[in-house]
Amino acid sequence: MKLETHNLTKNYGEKCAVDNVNLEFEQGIYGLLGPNGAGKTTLIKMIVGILPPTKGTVTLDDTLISKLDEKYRDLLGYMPQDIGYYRTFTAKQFLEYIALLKGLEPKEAEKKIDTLLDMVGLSDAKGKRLGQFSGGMIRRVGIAQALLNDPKILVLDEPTAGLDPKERIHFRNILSELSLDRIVILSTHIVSDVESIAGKVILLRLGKVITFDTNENLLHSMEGKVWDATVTHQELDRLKTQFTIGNAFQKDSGFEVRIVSDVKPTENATPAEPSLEDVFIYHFGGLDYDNI
Amino acid sequence: MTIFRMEFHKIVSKKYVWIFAIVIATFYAITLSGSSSSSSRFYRKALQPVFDEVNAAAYDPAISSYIVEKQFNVTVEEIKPLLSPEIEKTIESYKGQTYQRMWEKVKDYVVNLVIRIDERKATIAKLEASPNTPLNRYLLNKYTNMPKIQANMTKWDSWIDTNKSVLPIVIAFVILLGTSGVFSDEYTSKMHGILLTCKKGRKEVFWAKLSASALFSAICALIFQLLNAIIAALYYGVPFTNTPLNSLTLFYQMPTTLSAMELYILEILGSVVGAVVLSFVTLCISSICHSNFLSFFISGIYFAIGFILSNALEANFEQGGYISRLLTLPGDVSTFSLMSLVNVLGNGKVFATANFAIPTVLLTIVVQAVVFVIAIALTFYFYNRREVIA
Amino acid sequence: MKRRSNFANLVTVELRALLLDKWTLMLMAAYTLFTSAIFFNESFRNSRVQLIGHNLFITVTNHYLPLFLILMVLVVISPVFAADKKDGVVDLVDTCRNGKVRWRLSKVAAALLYGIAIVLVGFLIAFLMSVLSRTPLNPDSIAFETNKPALMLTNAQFFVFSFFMIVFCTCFLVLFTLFISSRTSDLLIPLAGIAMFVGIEFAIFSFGRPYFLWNLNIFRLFVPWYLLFDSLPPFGPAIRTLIIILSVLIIFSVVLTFLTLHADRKLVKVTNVKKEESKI
Repeated sequence: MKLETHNLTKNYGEKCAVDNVNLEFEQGIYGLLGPNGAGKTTLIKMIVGILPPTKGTVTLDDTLISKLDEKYRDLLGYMPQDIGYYRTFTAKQFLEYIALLKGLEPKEAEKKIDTLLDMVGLSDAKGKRLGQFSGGMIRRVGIAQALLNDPKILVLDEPTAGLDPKERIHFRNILSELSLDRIVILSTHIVSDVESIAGKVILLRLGKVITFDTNENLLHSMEGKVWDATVTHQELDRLKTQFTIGNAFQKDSGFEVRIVSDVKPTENATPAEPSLEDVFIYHFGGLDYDNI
Repeated sequence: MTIFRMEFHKIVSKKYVWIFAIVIATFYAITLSGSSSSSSRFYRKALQPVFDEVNAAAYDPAISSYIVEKQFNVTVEEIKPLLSPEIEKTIESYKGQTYQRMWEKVKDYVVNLVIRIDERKATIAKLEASPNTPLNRYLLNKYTNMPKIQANMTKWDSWIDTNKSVLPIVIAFVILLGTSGVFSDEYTSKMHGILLTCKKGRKEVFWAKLSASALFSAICALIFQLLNAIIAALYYGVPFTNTPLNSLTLFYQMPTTLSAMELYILEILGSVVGAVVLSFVTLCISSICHSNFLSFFISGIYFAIGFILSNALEANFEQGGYISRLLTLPGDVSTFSLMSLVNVLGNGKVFATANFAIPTVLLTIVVQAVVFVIAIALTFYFYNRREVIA
Repeated sequence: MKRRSNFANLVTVELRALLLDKWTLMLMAAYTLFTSAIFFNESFRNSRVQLIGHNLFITVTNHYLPLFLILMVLVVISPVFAADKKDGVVDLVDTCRNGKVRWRLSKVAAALLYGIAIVLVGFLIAFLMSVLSRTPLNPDSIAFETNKPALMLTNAQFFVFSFFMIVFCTCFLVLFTLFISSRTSDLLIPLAGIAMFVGIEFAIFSFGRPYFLWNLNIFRLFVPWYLLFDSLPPFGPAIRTLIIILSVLIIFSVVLTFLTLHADRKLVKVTNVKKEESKI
């Protein structure tokens, strides 16, 4: 199974949200990373077929998804960034409704709903109205609905936002298990999610793909570009103007900072093991580190 | 559980729809109940046994020619000896003023019927002498084939009149409340994206929403028609016999061959069909708008324009008219007119040009069928092609 | 830094938002177009307009202006509180310097000023059209003289009287709309609620029954020429009717304002209880 985008472009008036994107997805987890306004959600909406592109196509095994129509949607599981729900429905009613829309047989649906509610830890709350759910609980319902039809293509837009660390780890493990025989596209701001489970990473900036590579290759490309150093307050101010600063911790001896730079930033700087966070900072600049 | 059932559940589970419906139904009942005059009800009821005698008197050549000769100014004393003794037998059980008033009523019914019969003859004669235009041919055909006019003693006026304006408005209001959020609520609740990516989230959901809205609208129309019938039966009584439509005050001298019962049944049918058309127009607007507020308002304006054009403005200048003019045509073919049918069908309205004359109700049906199809097509387009912003 | 968040500024900001709302502008444009058609297009006037009081200015202000005013109140005022509730702005406002009650008060004040402003503009447009089309205003002749009214006013006096009655009624409708709007986060409810209220009032006004409710009807003020004539007892002479209607509406307006300003009283009480519990 191969999902491809060909010269995918979306313009909103003068503004180009997604610009000539060519991607190829095969079985595995793909992390889609980019700062706010990079065009991640627009790209995802075009991939799932709910936003007509201005130019370009999306194909599954060389057939246009618009031609596949229902067959494509039968393979699809989608969780939008702003998860929609009906406040008056209970969690179970809501999943039953989505199961119906996904064409599941009632008996099969019931089993699947119970399994999924258990998996996302909502078995005890299945009779509660969604209007009474917290943000995190709603996201868990959103994850469950996306998995209802056992999708071969799973597209998740910010799935872990609002989940606590324990839930996030649990969710990552679920995704890892699921990725064995399907395509999982994961758009997120949370770099650690991508780092721990995504096989390939797509970096998107101003609608353009700036990197599409494996996790290992990206980390390898950063070797010798990440530095740790302990500096004074004045030095930190100077470094901020010259380099991209990652983390800065205040300690008794001064500031312990992580610097992403092609050259050695200070005399006492020592090379550090690169992480995906560093890759993000390297490409999108330190100013966006509050989004990570 | 089916998608249709879920969609229907979404519409009827809105509490406010039912709260508004109950409030408006209560006020409707109060307003309607206050409109019946107890004395007129009494006389109509008391004189029901002599209905046949009154009709026979008006169609008796001796009595009618006497009334015409007297230029319709006859007294009870003058007419009393000419009428059937059965009438006196029925009325004599009443005493004093009531007895006198009963006789006055009988006289009025007879004289009124003679006037109508006479006017109808005059109209036919005038049309026969008029140029042979499509309109005149149409009207002549209608007036000649009209059933015999009867005395207006059957309460049908009150049964039919409520469908003229108030009832369609009440039904429309509840329909707008229930259906204005059918699509826009999906956008507001951000469910649109999820629905569109589900296997059955496009065509099936679309048709389920349409069918659920149609069912809801039809049920609403029927419930309010039933309520109307109950109130009318309680306050005016059940019409004891079917009468030709032109016997009723509302449709005096109108070119229609229908009976009151036929019009009433067609009104109910029109109310249901019109309700479905209105709900589809509302769905179309709902599929374009991002909030139920806007779709309710715009759909309300759509319905109100039809009402104003066909009712309020016409009432000022075209009262009782049976000719559709270019000025009145937009109102005549509106969804409101289909829901009411009193104006276009009851009045036997006709649209005529130099070459043809056709009943306006046909135009209403054709235009509303077109509106119906366009609304479905546009709704399908907007629901499936709308860019998901959420 | 000088804070510009005083009450007058708040009201100005709210009022500007209401006046520049696209629906206000669209409906006012429609009204202007309609009025100009009445004053300048004779065939339209003859075929579509029923002249009231032998005066076009009275016809427009007493017959057609109320329809546009009702539409403006419906669509512009309905979302005032409900939209903020829906968007979750209310809690945010509560944490700001001015606080919730002041914020509500500013919105109520702005909405009332809006009500006065749209009536004023409506009258001005009709007046302007009269002047431009050279349609006689006949300020000195007695309004509805041929119908023998109980209150004899010159046309000029009646214009002023109409203005105040319509302003008063619009303000009442504004307050009622705000009250419903402050109780819900669904924008449809105030819109449908007021539409239903106006519809029922109109039905009562048109059918003339129940007689008690016909006398206390908002359309008696929206179509003020009715007030020039005597009512049946117990409403009695025209002046007594006028006093009764105004008194009832003033009482209702005060109650509605109070309830609108304290729409979240229950919530506050619950919060206080919780605070007290936490102290214990």
